[in-house]
Amino acid sequence: MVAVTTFTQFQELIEATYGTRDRARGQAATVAWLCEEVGELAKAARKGTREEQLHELSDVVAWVASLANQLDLSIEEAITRYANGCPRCHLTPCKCP
Amino acid sequence: MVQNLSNQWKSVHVTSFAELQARLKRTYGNRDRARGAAMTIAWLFEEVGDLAKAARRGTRDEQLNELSDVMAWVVALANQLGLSIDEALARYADGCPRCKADVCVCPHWLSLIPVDGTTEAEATSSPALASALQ
Repeated sequence: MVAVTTFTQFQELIEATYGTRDRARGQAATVAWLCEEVGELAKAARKGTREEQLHELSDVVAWVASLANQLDLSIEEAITRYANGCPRCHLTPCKCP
Repeated sequence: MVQNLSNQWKSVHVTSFAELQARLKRTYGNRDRARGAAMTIAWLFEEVGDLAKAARRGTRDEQLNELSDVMAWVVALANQLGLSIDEALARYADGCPRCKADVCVCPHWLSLIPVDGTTEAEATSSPALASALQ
């Protein structure tokens, strides 16, 4: 049974687990780690097992959450852009050229 | 434009990763499949770059905008690979997946970007690094 995770819950969890050291490390280092993890996800997507893909996916989302925390941004607030269909053409499904 | 604004006022609130995965599957599912995972990864990297730039010198609105784009492309890739983000995030549900502590106590070297091929043993025994990390 997999629990349903809200953006806020996950941001709070990452803040509690890593907030102090992530802030000490700084945004530039966080961006560098995020890029590294996206690279690992890219590799897993191409030739990884399902378990490896889940692992790298969780790391990417964790680093995105950490960066959002450091910038004092709410993922929930950000994602309202996508809550009502495509933010460019405003349609579901997207009909952008 | 009036139509768009009225849509925003009635906007559905998306609060969870599962809702976002379902929402974006409706919006982009067909295009995601046609595009393929490799192209999605290329887009994701581009958006991470945009977020990096906004983090350094963007306004709060620009940061929110780029954060949403990164999340959307991560979700697009997860959808293409048939992965549940909730299932993935279970790894972090009980604290740090490496040291298992609620507040991460992994050795500091794990938190640093290795720039000179420093090994774990060297990093943790270096007095200069130890004092820099105090």
